[in-house]
Amino acid sequence: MVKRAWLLLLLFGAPLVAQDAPLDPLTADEQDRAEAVARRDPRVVELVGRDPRVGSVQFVVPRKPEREDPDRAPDLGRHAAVLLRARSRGAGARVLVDLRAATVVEVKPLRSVDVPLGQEDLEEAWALAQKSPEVVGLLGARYGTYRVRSEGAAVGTVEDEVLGMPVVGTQEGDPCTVNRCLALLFRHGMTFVENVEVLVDLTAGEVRVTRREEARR
Amino acid sequence: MKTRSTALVLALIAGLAGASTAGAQWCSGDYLVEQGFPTAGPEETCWRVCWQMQKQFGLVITGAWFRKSPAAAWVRVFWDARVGEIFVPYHGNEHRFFDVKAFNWSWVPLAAADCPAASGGKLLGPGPDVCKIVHNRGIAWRLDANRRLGEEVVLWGAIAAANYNYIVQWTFRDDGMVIGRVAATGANYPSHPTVAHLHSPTWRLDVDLDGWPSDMVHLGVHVETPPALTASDAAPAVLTEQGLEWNAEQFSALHVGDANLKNAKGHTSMFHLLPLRYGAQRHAELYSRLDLWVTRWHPDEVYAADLATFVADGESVDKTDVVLWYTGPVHHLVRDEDRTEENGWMAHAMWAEFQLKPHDFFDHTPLYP
Repeated sequence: MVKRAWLLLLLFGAPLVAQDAPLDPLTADEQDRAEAVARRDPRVVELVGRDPRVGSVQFVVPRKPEREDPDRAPDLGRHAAVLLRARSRGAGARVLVDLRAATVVEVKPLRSVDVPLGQEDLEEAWALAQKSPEVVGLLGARYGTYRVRSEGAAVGTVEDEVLGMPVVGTQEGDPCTVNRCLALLFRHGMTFVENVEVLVDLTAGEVRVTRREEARR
Repeated sequence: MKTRSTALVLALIAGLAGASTAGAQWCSGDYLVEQGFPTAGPEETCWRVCWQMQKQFGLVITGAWFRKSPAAAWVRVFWDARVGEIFVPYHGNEHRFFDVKAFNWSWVPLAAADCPAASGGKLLGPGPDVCKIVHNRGIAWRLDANRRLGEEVVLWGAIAAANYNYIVQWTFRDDGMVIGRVAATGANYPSHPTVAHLHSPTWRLDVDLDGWPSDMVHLGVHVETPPALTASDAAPAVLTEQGLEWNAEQFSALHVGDANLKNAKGHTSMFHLLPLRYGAQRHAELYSRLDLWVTRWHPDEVYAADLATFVADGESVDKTDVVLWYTGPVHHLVRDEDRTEENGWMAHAMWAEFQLKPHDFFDHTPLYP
């Protein structure tokens, strides 16, 4: 009986430890590891400093197999592209990380504007906005109830939520053509505070509130 | 007894080893959708699709294969298919939002109400993140009393982009056609809720028919010059990276194939990218002035807003690994139907879409009789 079972094992010849399929999404652990590997690479440090902001961590397959079997995936490895941005300079980087080897495969410089804004930027923008008496006045009695949804919380779980829209300057001379800017949106349930723009220039550390006439149709 | 226990343990391990053979699949669990058609009776065609929800891009197809009969080989259709940008310029230049590239958007977890089981729906992913619907798509073909109804599997998920949700939807039909759709829906932009604007999704379609090394692309061009009474169709090869204008009178379409993939009649199998649209975006941004682009595959070239840069080096796209890009705009004219009775805003879903249609892929009429 035992011999027969061992024979079965030999016939299967497959690894005993279950492996992720190559096209399954990055796990949270893989994303964390990719970020950590990227941050400590000297080439990355040179480009974006020791404490860069993370724009995104993306699943990527950097090389395609020459031939493929639809019924059996080749070993594609596990890779992530980490987009980082310097906190104080206008520099960014795309860092390709080999997760199995825990090494950086490639570092490409990016412009700061090519790195997406994200949760940390929104939290920073809201922190700046809270120092503005105009913003406090705008939100009135509900001011204290507004907050940025935390990274792990599901969308739609915060009643009074601060949201951000990345803004690119639309006029020559507008600082947001080069600076990192976020417009803050204030959502209460299914409605938003309307006809006012709260623009946070993260690069300059400034908050600008512009009220508009209520537009009619 | 000990012998029997050991045998059981070993058999169990062997079973696990067998399970890990399934791990040799390209994707696993909910991330693998394999759908045979028809859903009742013997299988005629089948799709195998891998998907992921990715921040910024929403629902991404990370692989798709089609089998045109149970005896036929699987043929890869997509290596990757995603939305590479959704550009939202406002008419008065109040804002120019790049709703994919500019922010690391997450996605909206779905609920049973999004995906009713009674309508063929099933929720997928840990969120759950995606709704899968398998349903009747209506008439596939018909002549008098003879007919065939078709079926399809639809996958959709939603990007949470502040005041908007973008519904990213992929449909895989029993006849091999793929339909890509994106809808914009949500509250009008709070600081300028009455200003008209566009939402223009650009899809990045890495079509690798039967693999990537020998991809080729042709531009479908219809020619008819009234008062002449005849018309003709041509399909010149696209040999280098470039952007192309969609021309309504020419029925512009991109034909993508593989130099080595032919059907039983010896015809080169292609898929035709057919725009379904009611306008064309034309803005200051260079990439927005053309509707169709062809680029050489590079894994880091994913944002459509950078297309003009991608093609600047004019790489060859002849019998190599090629990516297609297509922009289909949504023109949002603000209407009273966007304004809720409680004085909030809620715009119904507005769709942009395209079809990717098999051409000389089957050997004869599929799903017949």
